[in-house]
Amino acid sequence: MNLGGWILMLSSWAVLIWLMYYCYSKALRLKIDPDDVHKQSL
Amino acid sequence: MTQSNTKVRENWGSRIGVILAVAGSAVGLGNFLRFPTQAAVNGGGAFMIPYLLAMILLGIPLAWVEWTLGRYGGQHSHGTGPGVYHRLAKGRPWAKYLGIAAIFAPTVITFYYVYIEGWTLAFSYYSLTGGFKDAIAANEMSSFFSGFIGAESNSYFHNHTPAIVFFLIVFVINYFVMYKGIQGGIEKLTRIGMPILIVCGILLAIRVLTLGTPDPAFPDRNVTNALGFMWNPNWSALSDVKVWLAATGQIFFSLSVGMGCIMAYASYLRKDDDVVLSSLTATTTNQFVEVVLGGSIGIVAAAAFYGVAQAQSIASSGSFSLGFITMPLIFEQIPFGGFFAFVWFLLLFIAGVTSSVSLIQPAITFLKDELDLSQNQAVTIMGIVNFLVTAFLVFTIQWGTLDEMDFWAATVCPVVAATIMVFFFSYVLGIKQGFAEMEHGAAIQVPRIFRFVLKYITPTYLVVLLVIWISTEWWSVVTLEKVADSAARNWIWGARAILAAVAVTIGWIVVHANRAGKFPQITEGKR
Repeated sequence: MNLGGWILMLSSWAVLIWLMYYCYSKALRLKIDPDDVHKQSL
Repeated sequence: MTQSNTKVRENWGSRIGVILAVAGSAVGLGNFLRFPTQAAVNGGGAFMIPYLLAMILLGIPLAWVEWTLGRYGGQHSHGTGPGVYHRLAKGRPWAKYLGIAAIFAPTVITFYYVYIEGWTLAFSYYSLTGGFKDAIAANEMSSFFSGFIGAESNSYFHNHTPAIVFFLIVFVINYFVMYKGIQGGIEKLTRIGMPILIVCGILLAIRVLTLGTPDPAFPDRNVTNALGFMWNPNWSALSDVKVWLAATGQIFFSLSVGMGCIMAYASYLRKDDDVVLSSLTATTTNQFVEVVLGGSIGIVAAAAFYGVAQAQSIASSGSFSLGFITMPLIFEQIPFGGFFAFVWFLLLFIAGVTSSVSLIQPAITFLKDELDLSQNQAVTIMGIVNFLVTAFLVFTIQWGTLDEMDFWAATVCPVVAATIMVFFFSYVLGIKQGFAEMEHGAAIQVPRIFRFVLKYITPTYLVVLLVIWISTEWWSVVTLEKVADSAARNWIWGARAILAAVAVTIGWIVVHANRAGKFPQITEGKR
C-alpha cells in the first residue's frame, strides 16, 4: 500500500472511531424516564 | 379531533435501545459485501472523498429529517408516511398518498431479504457441519451456492428444500420478534445482536489483517498489498461521474434513509426525546461497521489470497460472489477455518435479522395506526403476505423475479420516497419550523449550515440521482431489453403484478382509513 492509501485508511478510521466515541459518550450520559409513557387522543 | 378514544403508544425502553435498533436497521449485508467491492472498483481510497461528502450532505441530514418526522408523527398517532405527511400538509387531500412509497419500499424488500437471510443462517450451519468442505474450487463452490438457492439442480442440491427450511426458521425468528413488539422484541434483539455483530466483525478483521502472506509461493499476495487494493487512491477516478454516483448510492442505501424504517422506529420515541444525537450515533455506528470492519474483511482477504487481479474480478462479479463463494473458499484454507466461516455467516445473519425487523416494522405500524389492528393482528397479516410472496420468489428466483423486485423496491423507490420526505420537511413544514421540531429536546446543536444543506443541497442531490438513474437504466429495465427468455419475461411480469398489488393495497388502506376518520381536517395554522 502506498503512502496515500495509508493516510486515507488511517484518517478515515480515526475520524469514525472518534465520532463513535464522541456520540456514545454523550448518548450514554442521557437518560430516559421509563415511567414517562405518554397518552394521546386521536 | 374526530374520535375520543385514548390510545397508549408503545415506547422504546432506553436511548441506547433505539440507537442500536436504528444502527441495526442500517447495518446489513451491504456493509460487509457491497461497500468493499464498490470502493475497490471505484477509485480505492479516492472513493472515500465522494463517499464522506455524500455522508455529510445526504446521509446525516436525511437521517435527522426522518427521525424528526417519525417522532413528530408518533405524537399524532401516525408512524408512517401517509399520516405524517397528511398532518404536515395541514390535511391537504393529496399529501397522504405521497406517503405510500415509504411503506411500499421496506415491505417489498422484506419479501426477498428474509429469504436471503436464510442463506446466511444455512451457510453458518454448513460451516460448522462441513457442508461445503468438498467444494474446494471456485466453480464447485459456485455450484454449491447456485444449487442451494435453487438457481440450478446439481450434485449438491436437487431441490429447494434446504433453502426453504432455513427460510422458515428465519421467518419464525423475525415474526416472533415482531409479535413481541418494540421494547420486548426489536429492542431486546438489537441490544443483544449488535454487540455480538461488532465483536464478530472485530474478530474477523483481526484475523484477516494478520494473514500476512498466505501463500509464500506468491509473495505479492499479502495483506499490505490487499489493503492497497482497497485504499490506494486513484485520483483520476474522481473525474468519473459514475464513481460519484456509486459513492452516493452506497451511502444512501447503507444508511437506509428515506425508506420509512427510521420514521416508524422514531414514532415510538417520546415527545421530548433527543433525535439529533441519537441519529448521529446510529449513523456513525453504521459507518464504523462499514468502513473500519467491512472494509477490512471480505475484499482484503480475497486480494491477499488470490491477488489483486483476481480480487478485481471477484469485486466485479458482485456481492454474493464475494460473500457466499470466495469467503468460504478462503476460510477452508486457514486454520480453524470452519469456525471463522461460522463467525462470518453469523455476522451476516445478525446484520440481516436486525435489518429485516426494521423493514417489517413500517407495515406493522401502518396497519396498527390506520386500521386500528392489534399488534398480533398486524403481525399475522404481514406474516401471511410475506410468506406467500417469498414462496413465489423461492420458486421463480432463476427467472430474475428477485432482481426485479430489488430494482423497484431498493433502487428506485427509496430515492423517490426520500425526495418526497425532504420536500415535506424543507418546503411543506418549512426549514424554520422543521429545525425547531428537530432541535426540540436535542442533546447537541445542529450546525446552521445544515439549514442550507437541507433546503437546497440534499433535494438537488436526490433529484440528480433520480434523473441519472432513470435516464441510464429506466427504459431498458421497463422494456426488459436484456431479458431474452420468454419464460423469464412472463415471470418478471408476474413479479410486477405483485408489486402493483402491494402498492394498490397500501393505497386502498389509506382510502379506507380516510373514510374511517384517520386523516381528519386540520384547522388552518395548526399541525
